[in-house]
Amino acid sequence: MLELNVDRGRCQGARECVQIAPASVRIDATMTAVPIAPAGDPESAIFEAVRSCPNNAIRVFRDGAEISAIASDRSRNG
Amino acid sequence: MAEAADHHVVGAAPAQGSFHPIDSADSRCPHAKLQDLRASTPISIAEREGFPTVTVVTKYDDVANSFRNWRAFGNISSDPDPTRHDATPEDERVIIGLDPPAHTWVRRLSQLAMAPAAVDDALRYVADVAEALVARFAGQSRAELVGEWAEPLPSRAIARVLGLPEESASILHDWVASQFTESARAASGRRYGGSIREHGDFVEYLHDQIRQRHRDDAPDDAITRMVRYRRDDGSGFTDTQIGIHVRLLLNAGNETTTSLLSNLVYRLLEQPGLYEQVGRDRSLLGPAIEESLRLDAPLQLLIRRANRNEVVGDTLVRDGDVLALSTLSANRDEQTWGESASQFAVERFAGSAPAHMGFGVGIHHCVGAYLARQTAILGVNALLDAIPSMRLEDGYGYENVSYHIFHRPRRLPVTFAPRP
Repeated sequence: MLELNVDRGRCQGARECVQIAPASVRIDATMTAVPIAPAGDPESAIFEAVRSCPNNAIRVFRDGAEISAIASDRSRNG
Repeated sequence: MAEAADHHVVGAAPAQGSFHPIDSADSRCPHAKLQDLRASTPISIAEREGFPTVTVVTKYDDVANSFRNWRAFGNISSDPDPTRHDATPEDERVIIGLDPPAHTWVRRLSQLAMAPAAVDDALRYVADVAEALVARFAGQSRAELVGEWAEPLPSRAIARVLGLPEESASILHDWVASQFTESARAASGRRYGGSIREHGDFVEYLHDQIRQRHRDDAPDDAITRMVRYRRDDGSGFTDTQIGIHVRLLLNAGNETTTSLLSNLVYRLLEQPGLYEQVGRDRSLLGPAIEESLRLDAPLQLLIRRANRNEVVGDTLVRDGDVLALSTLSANRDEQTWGESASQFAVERFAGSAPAHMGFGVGIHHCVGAYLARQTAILGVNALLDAIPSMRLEDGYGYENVSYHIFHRPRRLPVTFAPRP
């Protein structure tokens, strides 16, 4: 099971993640991304959402263990 | 993406009618022409004597896809003539002239100042400044909101966020403003853009500030964090690199936020009763800020350059072509935003709406978006608290500023009942 964590101290509301993985992240009234648990998109979309963040605000966990480095494996674009 | 194997893919056509997004004669009032382009030639070539030739992209999907395709469309800063960009060594380029991997580290350097966690400490001060600015004119019956409110507030906010002394805000504001005047353009010897001359005194002032941050007892502020920052390989940034990025953040955080504040209040006053409605129901302020960023993107276009032949929509963009990605047009694309695309709908962003491009899209999405939004919330709340009702001065006519990438009213004279 995949779960996302969004660092509110970093998120600037770019909304890339919400468009890529709409069943795993939503945007709240303060334009900050909020994870939906459990993440409801295919793994590839969730990983792409992690990579898409221009502010490196998203981390991803599988069964409680962080796998952000695996999700970000491709050269980071942020 | 493959080259033009698909026979439907053709090169960009010349813009129908005469439109050049870099020429302030056109950029001051571009809406009708952009609407024509979206309908007739969504990707077109703009050529005009005295201006760089650019490929103008106007549809929401094409603009978004081009922004996200940073491997094909590199960032060369805001000058559509790449000459200066190409002559600048990579380690002297600002973040908006960089692509990954160099961009990635400089982005993190900028985040040391601009991430919400870093900005939050400054917000109490920003609220106090907003209240003090409004108090200066609330007892009168009129004000010019661009000069008295929308300009001074962002420069004070960004100076505070960076850790610069308060007196630097006014120096800073004069420095930023001086680059974008008609006379600065004349001095640059070009028909577009701003001054290319650096202000030596201000650069020296900043470098003195940066040098002071090398001391062991330097204050824990954004510039100190930049000085102490190390990449994974242990290397830091030179004072020169920190200096150009501090100047970029100062620049980028000033005029654009002035535009957001001015555009937003203009729209609230343009619809009778809307300013007062938001005053009574402050839950509308957040959505109103987003709608302002959509309808009136503070930066009306952003520049990219193709690193290879690449297809956008049905159009082949050739290696070396310079793109003008029109955020202003994408944000008003009827196909994305519906029939009300060109109207200010205060509740559009109260529910779910597509992402607007007011802060750009993708890896270069505005690193100061949080500060801009918070400055708008605090600034407009200060206005609404002190002046519950106001209107545009009788006979007011909207006039856009004359710098080609900026989109905001030059002046915003308002009248109201004076606060007792």
